[in-house]
Amino acid sequence: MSELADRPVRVPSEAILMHWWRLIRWFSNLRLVPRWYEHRARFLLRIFRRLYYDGLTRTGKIILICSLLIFLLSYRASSGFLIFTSSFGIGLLLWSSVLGFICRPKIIVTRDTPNTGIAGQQLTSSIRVTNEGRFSLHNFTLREMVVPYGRWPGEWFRPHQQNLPAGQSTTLSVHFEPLRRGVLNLSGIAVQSYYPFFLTRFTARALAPAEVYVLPPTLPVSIPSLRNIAEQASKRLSLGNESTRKGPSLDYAYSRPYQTGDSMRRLDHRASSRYGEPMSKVFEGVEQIRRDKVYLMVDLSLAGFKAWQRRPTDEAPLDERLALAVEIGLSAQNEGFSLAALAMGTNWHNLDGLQQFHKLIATCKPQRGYSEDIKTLPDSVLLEQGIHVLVLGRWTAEAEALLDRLQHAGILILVFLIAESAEDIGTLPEGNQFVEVQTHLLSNTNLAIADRFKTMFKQTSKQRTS
Amino acid sequence: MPLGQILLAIFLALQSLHIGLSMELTIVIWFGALLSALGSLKLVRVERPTWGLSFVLLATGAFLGSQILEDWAIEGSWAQNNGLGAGLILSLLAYQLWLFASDDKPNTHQALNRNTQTILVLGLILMLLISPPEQTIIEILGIPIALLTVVAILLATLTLMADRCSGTLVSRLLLLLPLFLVAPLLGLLLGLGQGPLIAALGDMFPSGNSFTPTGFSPRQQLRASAFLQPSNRAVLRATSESQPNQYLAGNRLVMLDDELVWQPIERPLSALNLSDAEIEADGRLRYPMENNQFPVDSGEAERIDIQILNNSNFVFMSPNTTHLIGRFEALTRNAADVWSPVYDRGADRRWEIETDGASIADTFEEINLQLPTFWDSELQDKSKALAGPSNQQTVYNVLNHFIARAYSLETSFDPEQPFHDFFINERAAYCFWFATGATLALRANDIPARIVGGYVIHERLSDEMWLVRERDAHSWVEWQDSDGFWHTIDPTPPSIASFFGGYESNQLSVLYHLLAGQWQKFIDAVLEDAIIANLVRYGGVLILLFLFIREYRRIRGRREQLDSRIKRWQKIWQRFLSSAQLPTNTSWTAATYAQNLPAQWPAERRAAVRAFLDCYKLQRFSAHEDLALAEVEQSLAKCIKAMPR
Repeated sequence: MSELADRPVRVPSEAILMHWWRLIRWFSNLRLVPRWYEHRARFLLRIFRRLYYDGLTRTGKIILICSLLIFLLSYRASSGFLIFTSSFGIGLLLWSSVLGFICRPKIIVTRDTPNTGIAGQQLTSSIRVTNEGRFSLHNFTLREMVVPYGRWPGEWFRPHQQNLPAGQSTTLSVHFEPLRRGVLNLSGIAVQSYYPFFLTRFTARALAPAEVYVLPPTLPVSIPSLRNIAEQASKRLSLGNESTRKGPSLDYAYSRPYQTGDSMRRLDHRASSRYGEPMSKVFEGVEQIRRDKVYLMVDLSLAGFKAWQRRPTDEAPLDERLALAVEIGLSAQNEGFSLAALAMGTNWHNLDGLQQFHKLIATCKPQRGYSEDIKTLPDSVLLEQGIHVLVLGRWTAEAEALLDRLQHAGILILVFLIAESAEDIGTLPEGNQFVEVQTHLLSNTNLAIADRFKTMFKQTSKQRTS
Repeated sequence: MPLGQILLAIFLALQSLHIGLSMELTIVIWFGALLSALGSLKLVRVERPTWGLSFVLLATGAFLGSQILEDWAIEGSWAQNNGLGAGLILSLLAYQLWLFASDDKPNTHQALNRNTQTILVLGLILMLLISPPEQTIIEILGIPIALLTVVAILLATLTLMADRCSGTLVSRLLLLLPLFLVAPLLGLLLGLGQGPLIAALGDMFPSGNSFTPTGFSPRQQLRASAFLQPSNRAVLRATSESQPNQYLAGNRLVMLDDELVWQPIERPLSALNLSDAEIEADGRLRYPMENNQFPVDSGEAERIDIQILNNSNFVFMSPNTTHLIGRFEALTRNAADVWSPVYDRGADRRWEIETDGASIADTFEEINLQLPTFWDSELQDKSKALAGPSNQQTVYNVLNHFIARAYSLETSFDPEQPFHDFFINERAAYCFWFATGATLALRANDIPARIVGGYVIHERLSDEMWLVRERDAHSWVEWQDSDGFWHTIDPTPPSIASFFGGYESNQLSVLYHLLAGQWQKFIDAVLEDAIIANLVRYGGVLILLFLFIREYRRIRGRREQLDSRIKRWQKIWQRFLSSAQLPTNTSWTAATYAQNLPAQWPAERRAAVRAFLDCYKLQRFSAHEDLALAEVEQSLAKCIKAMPR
């Protein structure tokens, strides 16, 4: 189903008929009934939510429904005990509501919510509740107020506080789970009191806004060490001119265990005999200083995002790419690099800290990438020092040109690719600085089918030529 | 044991008592109480019911209820009449007991416990909506109270509160006391307001007076103003090897009263019982029926199998039926002259009609010539104009007169003299008016006649199967010749066909009834042989049992596998710590251990331990746990080798 936000954009270079055809298709698929969270809470709906949905626990609801049914259906039976049963059920709920209203929560809430979350993972806010009422607050729980794209734990998993005397405070944890990348505006906290009989609930709403930058779902991959890849890639780059390298000499810094690819010249024999395992010498010099910082370049374009579309049909490949960028950023931090700048599309953004990095990742918008002519990557780098990491969804001519340009300028660039579609798998050139990460959007079954088709077509073309 | 668990067990026992008393099955009470007590003790670890297991449980309950409970329950109890429903209720009770037994120790840090809520919700639905047994209704201060139901509501409330109000439970219970004052007062108010409220609710719904649904009615009234709305609801399915007689008569009416209602002949209520019937080879009873139709030599006797598809308890027969065969203990003819069967216990609502040429002449009854009080000279003159030289010719003339007229589902006649308006002005009407007109016109010409109500068979599903719907309800006429035999004529004009054209059956409905008919045929063929029937019955139970055990074992196996893997990981970690002689620190991860290895250790030992820790860290949450375990165990073996002896 399409929505209003999906209405096609007029592309001037195309025939108007094409636009009309898309308009008709969009209109024929248009969702006319709003989603449940898109309903404006009208008066009756609000009353229903307050009194029935929020106001009664499941047991309370059943007592109410059954009592009403007994009341309505017992008219012909004219049995006194049925009327009494009905009145007992309804009376219990009414009495419970009256007591619940008298001892309703009167609270002040302050929250401590992390400003970054991950889609699909629980985020915990620490909520300080102060009882401002005259009575003690009994049997209450907390939950976030309902906002789109957030999921709260079921009633069974909310922490229950038995008692909070008047004027006192307590701190409780409230969990919620953001559902997709973006900015989640939390509006406040609902305090629900089950006093006195756990049949009715009285909900007090306290405004406590908070903004959470939601990162894409975590990618279940382990990122190889950036330092290792960078070292191996730089060896490959400087293979031909190592003996004639110019610049300041290198000073010995320390020795570390031998890693595959280390030069035999750097083997520290003394340390190796002392530690009982091969050790390599690490030198401090221009190379190490140059690689102190990491610059991330993320291609935000999606091949399926056409000129006439207002938004892509599927943002999952971009989310996966951004999740990879987050992993690389964190991995770089763990390895002692500092994340200096981030290029989202063609623009560079200087990074002051991890929070800004997360904000940029959470708020970035997808770009159109249906044509090779559209520029999706920056033209140049901010600084020539440091490691530049390019995160791609597909290996394009623009990326290849950028890589060539930077390599000729002697800038170290590592390329990570997470395939956007089945055709993009295996397109990355071979080399130490190229890393292809397996995508989880394309299942193995789909890939197997695609492979089978590929081989089938290859065979038929071979047969034709023979 | 937590107080909440004890109260929940009492709630379940109370529910078993309620259901057991209601079904008049003492075993349910004892089993329910016993299982509640055992479930609260948590002696055996029971797996939680999954969706699949719950479905199998409900299906088993429904199957056993329909197959066994109907024979098992006490005669006259509702469990006997509705075995399927009773089976489902018992399986719901079993589900609650199972849920209770599988529940772990409730966590009072949560406001509500999921399993407790489910048990209370299901229990309250059953206890409030199943009518309370009479012996549990007591009177206190003149107020009748369903004791079990009220106690169940209170117990449900107490169960929810018990574990979450430690220290304040008594004061919380005291808050319930005013309820015993509020409830009778509220009951009084509800009793006063019930009538007006229901009347007001009734007014809110649209009234259906503008339409009169079609269908067979034992007593029929001529209405001056009516708009019939044909209904496509299925009434019965007829199966016959040859083309059956198209008429299925429900009753015969002879007297039109001043209210324009057709009344049957006045005769004492009659009944046929076992002594009147012959027993067929398959155990069915064959009741003789009086056939007064004009004998038509059709060769062999024909049989039509009829299965009723709605809730009516009337028998419809072809006009020339000589025998009625079915599984009923008795047949009674009620005041509206309709035969009603008393089916055997558990028997299908179906019968077989046997028709042949054998018939006997009926006696002449004066009532078959009786004209209504509104019959005047104008009507008599119009009727006499249709007279012919012989009775046969008069019948033809009457038939031809009505057949030439127009058919309509809507009538709007003169409210003062509707029959005059219809008959004299030759207005369009529906079958009942034509049948009335023809009957009275024949009687005016001294030909005994009566009106017959029933259905017409015309919708063919297959070569041997026909479907009758409510829209096929029809009225026609029988007239008596001088020999005393009755002849069937249908004065309704052929333009009725256009009426059927406007209310054609839905193709999906036709397909459904065809498949249902074929399925019934298959089931009949299977159940024909008692051995095969039992084989199918018990085979079904065994299959359900097998599915249940298989699913349960699978769930238990998964749990055990999970437990065993967790134990294996724990064992590896303990072995590592003891062999490396490292202290146990529960807040440290493998990475923390790796960072904090003792500095005095030789490099080789440090490397081996670090290798193991790296391997452990990498593999601990691997998707392929078995492979990961094997690899980590190998790594541990290497690590242990590197340790000093």
